Amino acid sequence: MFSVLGTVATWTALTGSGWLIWKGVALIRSEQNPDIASLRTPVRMLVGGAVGAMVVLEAAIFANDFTVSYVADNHSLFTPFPFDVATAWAALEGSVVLWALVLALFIWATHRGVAREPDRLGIGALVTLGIIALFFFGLVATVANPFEVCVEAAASSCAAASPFPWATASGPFNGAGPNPLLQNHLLMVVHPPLLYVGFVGLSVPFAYAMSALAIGVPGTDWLRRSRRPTLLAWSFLTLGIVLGGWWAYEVLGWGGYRAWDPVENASLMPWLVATAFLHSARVHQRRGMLRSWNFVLVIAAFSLTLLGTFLTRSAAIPSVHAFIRSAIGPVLLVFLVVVVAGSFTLFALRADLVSSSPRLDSLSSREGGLLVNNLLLTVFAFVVLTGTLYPLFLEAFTDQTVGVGRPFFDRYSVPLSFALLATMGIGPVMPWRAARPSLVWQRIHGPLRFALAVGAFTVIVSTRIGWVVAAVVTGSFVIAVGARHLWEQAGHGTRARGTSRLVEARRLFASDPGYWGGQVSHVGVALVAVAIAFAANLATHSQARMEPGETVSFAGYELTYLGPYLEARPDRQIEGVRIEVARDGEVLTEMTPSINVIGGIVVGKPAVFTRLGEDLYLTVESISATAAELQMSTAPLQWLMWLGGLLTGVGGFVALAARTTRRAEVAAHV
Amino acid sequence: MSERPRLLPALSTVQLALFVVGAVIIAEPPEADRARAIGIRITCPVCIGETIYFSRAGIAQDMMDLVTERIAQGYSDDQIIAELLSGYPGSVLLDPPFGAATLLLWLGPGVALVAGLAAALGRRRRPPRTEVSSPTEVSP
Repeated sequence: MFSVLGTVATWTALTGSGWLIWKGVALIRSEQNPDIASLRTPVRMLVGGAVGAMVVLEAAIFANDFTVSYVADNHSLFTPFPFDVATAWAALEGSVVLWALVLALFIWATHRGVAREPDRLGIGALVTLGIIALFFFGLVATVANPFEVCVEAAASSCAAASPFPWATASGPFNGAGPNPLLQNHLLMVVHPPLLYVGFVGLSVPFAYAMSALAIGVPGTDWLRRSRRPTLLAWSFLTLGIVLGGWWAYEVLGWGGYRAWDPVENASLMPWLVATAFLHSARVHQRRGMLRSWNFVLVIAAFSLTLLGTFLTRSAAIPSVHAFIRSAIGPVLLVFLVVVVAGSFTLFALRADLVSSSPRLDSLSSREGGLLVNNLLLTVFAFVVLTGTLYPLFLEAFTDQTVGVGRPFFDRYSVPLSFALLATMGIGPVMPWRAARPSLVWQRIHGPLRFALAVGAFTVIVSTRIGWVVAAVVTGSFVIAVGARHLWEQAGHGTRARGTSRLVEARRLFASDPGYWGGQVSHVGVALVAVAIAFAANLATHSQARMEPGETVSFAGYELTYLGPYLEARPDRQIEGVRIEVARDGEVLTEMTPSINVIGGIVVGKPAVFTRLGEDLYLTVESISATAAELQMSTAPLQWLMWLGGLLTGVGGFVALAARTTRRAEVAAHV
Repeated sequence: MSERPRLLPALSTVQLALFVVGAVIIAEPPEADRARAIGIRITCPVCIGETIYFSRAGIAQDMMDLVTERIAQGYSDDQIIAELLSGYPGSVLLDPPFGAATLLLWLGPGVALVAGLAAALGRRRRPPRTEVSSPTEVSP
């Protein structure tokens, strides 16, 4: 039954997409005022079908209907809540359903916006989104169909499936459940949906860009109307990346948060390019510059999200993130090539639309800073792109194998990051057009001294490792410049109106949310940079073999092995050790790193003890009757990374939310 | 406000900078953890994309033990890496050496940066020349 319902829902959405494209094109071609009402039904079909498909998939999982191939392959009777919910997108086919659902929701939101402002630019964007939706629902209907009927059962999966919902079903009595690595931490439930909102959201600016090019609407309209979805997508992408790193840290058990894994890179690249776009869009809106560059960035950002989906789902690159190899890979690759070739061709054909940008007065100006920022961010993205794809290409064309990993990426990303931080510190306080050196100096000399003082403090109490001190200085500089600027700007209002600085600060945030939300994100990025420098240079690591009752010293802690424990749950067996952690004779806590056996697969579960200065991180390697082998790490200031990362994302939401407040305020005044 | 920065803030900034930079320079270089430096450059042959330093697979730990042993015996980094790559087929060096096959990889980002910088500087308003109309002003 679920197969039938799911298939019906998928085809409803597919029909809705096709109808939306057809109706939209007709509207654009007609000479009269576009009447948006005729698009309502196809959009409803599209959204209804997408929601329906996801609901049916969840229902099939909760009903334990193992005749549905996806359920048979990815669910088990013992999968606990909330991992059973997340099972719906934990494997390849389901992840495409989630992708399509998020896209449908963005189409719905875009349709609402276009209804308020019905014009050809908006309808063209809806048509573009409809084409993308047609592709993704097409995937769900064909090569990534989770609603196939299992016609031949294997022991705990489906041996053969039929795409026809009326086929005679024969499913297993129970399935193997989702990938054990995905059942180990709550973060795994939220991390992928957040990323998907980020990835899919970048389709909206792409759609507006394509529409502006195809219809021939010059100017900043497409930027203005895609600003909110871009910010939303960027904020979610940021949170998704941060939580992904957090998950890796809490689950993978090597004490790190990022490994320059190809799939991690696949999410970093669109983030870098989208960040560049958020900044360069401002230059276009404010100064009319970088018109064509904005199109390039938006096309690149969207193409990179497609590249990311391709890398994850094609098994082209070995990665902990990879889904199984499937027919979807080549299809995605073809779509990617069509998108890149098609959009750049359109861009080239419309070059007249974007030519004759005004020139830059001086590099030392706000737009100059933003230009440098764009250059650094895109070169950064380029480094990640070449590093990720180079091994693939080299192997395909020359039979040589070459690995590109952390040493390579670090060599480029470290200097680029420092340059970005410096730009982040100086750029935001430079006025537009041309900055007098004396004004810039006046705005930065205090923060510079503050940053150097923090650096001096670090040198005295903590470390004299150059990279760490440099990160502390540049990071504090960025934070201090932003704080000083807010204080000073609020001071103007205080003097003029006699209100408190706090009231004035809120007024500032409401009056230019994009700028001040951006400053919040800058603070977040600065904190992350400091945290990365500490983690990369001051983490310590050791291992020990311990007998019950034995105590070892590590990084100033005394770790005592109290004994092993065993816990059996329906879905997993947990073997762990109890470790008492003491420092200077005082017992701080008890940690219980463990080994989980889920469906016959062994997954480590590290234990993390967070303190102000550092995390203590324990992983247990093996447990026998007489002894346990333990891996021990310290991760300095690890919490700063999560705080900074979350703050970076929050900055994006501030930029979004403050604008709504202002609108409400304006409405209240009218 | 005077056009020249006042002397005192500038001086104290320089002093602080000198202190921090000086402290970093005269600091003892951190004891190079050569085993780690080698370990994070080589993937383990059986695990997916993980380096032997971080991997918990038995073979990765064997390889790390070999690294420690060779360092104690006074081998150079390159010798140790060569031995690991030949002794454990399937392991990959993550830090590709500069060479013909990796020319694009190594030089690409630098070329992109220089090209971008040139393009950005090229976008600056040229000093106005006679008889050439300057680009129109855009309202701020």
